[in-house]
Amino acid sequence: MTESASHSFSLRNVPALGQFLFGPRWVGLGLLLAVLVPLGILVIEPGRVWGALMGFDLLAKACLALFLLLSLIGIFRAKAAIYLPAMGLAFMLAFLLFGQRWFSLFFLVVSPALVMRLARPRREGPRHGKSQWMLLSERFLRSTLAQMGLFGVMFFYLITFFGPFLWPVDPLLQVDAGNLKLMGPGTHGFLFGSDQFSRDILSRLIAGAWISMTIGLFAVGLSISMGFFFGLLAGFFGGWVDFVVMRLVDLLLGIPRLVLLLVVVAFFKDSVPSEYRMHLIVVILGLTGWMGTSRLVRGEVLTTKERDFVQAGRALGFSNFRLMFKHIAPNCMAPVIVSAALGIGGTILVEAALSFLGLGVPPPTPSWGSMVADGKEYLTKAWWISTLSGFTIVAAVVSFNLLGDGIRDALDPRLASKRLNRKQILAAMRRSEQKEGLERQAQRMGGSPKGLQEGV
Amino acid sequence: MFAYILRRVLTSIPLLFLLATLLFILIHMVPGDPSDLHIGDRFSPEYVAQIKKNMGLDQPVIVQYGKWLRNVAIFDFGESFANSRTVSSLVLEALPNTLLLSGISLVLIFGLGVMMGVISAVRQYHPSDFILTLVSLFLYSMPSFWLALMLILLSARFFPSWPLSGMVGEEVINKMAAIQEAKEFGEPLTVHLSTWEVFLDRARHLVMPAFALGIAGAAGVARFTRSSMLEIIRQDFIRTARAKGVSGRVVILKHALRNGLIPVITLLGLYLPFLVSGAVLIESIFAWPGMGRLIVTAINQRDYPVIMATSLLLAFLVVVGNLLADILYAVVDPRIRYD
Repeated sequence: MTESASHSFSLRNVPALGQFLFGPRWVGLGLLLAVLVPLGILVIEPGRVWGALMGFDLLAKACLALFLLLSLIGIFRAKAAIYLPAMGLAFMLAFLLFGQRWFSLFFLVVSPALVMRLARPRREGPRHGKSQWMLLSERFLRSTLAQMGLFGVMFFYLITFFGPFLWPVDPLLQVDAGNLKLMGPGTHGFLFGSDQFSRDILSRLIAGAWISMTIGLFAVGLSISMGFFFGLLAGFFGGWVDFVVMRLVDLLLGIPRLVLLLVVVAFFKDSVPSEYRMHLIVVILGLTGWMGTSRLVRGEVLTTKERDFVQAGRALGFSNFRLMFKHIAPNCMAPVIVSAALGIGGTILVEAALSFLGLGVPPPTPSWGSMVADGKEYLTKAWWISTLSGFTIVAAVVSFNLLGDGIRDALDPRLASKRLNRKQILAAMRRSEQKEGLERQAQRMGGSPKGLQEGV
Repeated sequence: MFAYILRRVLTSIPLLFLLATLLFILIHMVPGDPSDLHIGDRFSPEYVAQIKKNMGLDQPVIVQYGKWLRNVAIFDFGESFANSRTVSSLVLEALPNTLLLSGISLVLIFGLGVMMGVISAVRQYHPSDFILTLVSLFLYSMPSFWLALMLILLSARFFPSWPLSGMVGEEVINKMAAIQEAKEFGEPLTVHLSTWEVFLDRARHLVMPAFALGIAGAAGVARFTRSSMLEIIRQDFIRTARAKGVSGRVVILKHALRNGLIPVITLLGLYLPFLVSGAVLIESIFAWPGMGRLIVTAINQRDYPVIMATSLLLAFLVVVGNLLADILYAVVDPRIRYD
């Protein structure tokens, strides 16, 4: 492709649409939804959007959150490795300060950056080489399943954020309060049916996404940050620090998690006001889930520590802090990201189990687990209550697991199990033939194949 | 090897002691205590004080701790607050039921899981691999309690006579009662209850809970086995074996599977606590009278002694399971040597 061609207009270069048409298709679909859903809401109900914006006083709070984030990054003055825990901390603070509305902050602060990063048109022509992250995302997007996982995750977060604009009726409203009949899916305007209090299941499922997504993200954010920090500490310093941290890990791993959760939530729930029940669950899930990550990180740090660039840094007299966070940590991120993505799926399941037992967020608030429990009593009379809520849980967890698997495969190309179709195999063969041809030609001419390629 | 095992066993003892302490602290940090259940207008303060005294809750925490630790050392877990039976008898009553249920699902987990994993690894890129991988992903992402409800829903529709809850069917209970009665009154036996009948009844009750409990784990094991087998299959010695002319079946089952199972076997040790605790939700749904139900009722009734005893048992199993996993690893893989 020549210089001039890349400047001319092409559908390929339109963010979101270009991706949807020319691939990665699923990511393009997700981006399209991310653009179209808010636009559609804005067009259909501008008044409500304006009201919500005014009510939430978003801008001021978004600025505050941005400030928190920047100052946290500033405090640590470290690179990518610290963004994750720093963002975790910042969002934790935002969550504590703003409760249910933290999500709007998330979208205002992070999503423009994310969309711009993902929607950047594909550059054509020669490049100076690719960064590790670009290679990673290329390998990631090569797999359709991984793309579908990313799409699913985007879809559920979209639903979480725009829930109040998307649900057909108020999730707490008893539509037909006088006549509490169980309506099947598709009847009387209930697309997914109604529950025993004549509330709309679809609306409740949309509203319940908030609980699962928030608890999943925050609990895993907390546990990953803690696990990363302790693992780094133990691996880097070794000696008695390692001994103490690892014995602590052994000790905490010995506590049966589900039983601990049941005991703590059951016993503390009366002394915690119901609007903070969710914070309690987040903190407990976070505090009981970090041990695995810290073992993983410790192992990774132990090998990274011995590499030459760390020794060089030591010889240059870098401080331990700088070595730890700036040089070692970024190189130990890979397993952490994977365990975070897979961890969110697992946490959603644990939260659903807690809600199922009635130990989750208190009743009028819809949550997927408690909706499955609601349907338990009416299983034969109204199959749709439990079935559809359960399918939603499965869809969300599958999305996160696909995402995690995709990232893992992308990080470890040895394990990549991509099935090439005939066309792709032929293309690959042609490429290698061409390359061989070029090499042979170059050898004949006594030049390097690389120089020749650049000349073409 | 022996020295290593001995050292690991010795280091687990202080670990268990610390765990017991931690559990004690945790339970006693909880606001409110079991005597709260008796607070209200109906009870006089003297009565509540007496109850507290009976439960040993009036003493300083440190004294309670010392007493508890001494009793644990001699396996005396005290009496349940809720129904004045000894904790040991409650646990011993529930434990065999749970072991039966989770033992069978453990067989399902590893049997089915390894089979699925091997098939999809051997047929990589084949449609059957794709389908198996997708199916195991879905099963793995499925909440077990929901799967249980779906099984109940399906069986209610298609097999209305299939037993949905409990451990023993009504028919068997009636017959047992009749036999008991006949024995008590010395009458001749009119009803007959064969062992086979009891076994069949138990098996019918077991199918659904065991399936609901095991299938997610099986999917996890399948994923694990698949990746471990894929790594092995690509190694040189497999190619050598194939080149020698060893048949495909032998290569897979003898050369590859033996090596591919090494990481899977260590999972066995980690599943030890699952034998006792894995069934909390499933047992509640299917009304299976096991440890899971015991734990949930104990938590609802704030039955400290039962909670403490069961958590300690679970913690013990976790520690033992980890130890077992390490030892198994060394036993099956001669490349690993501990000194």
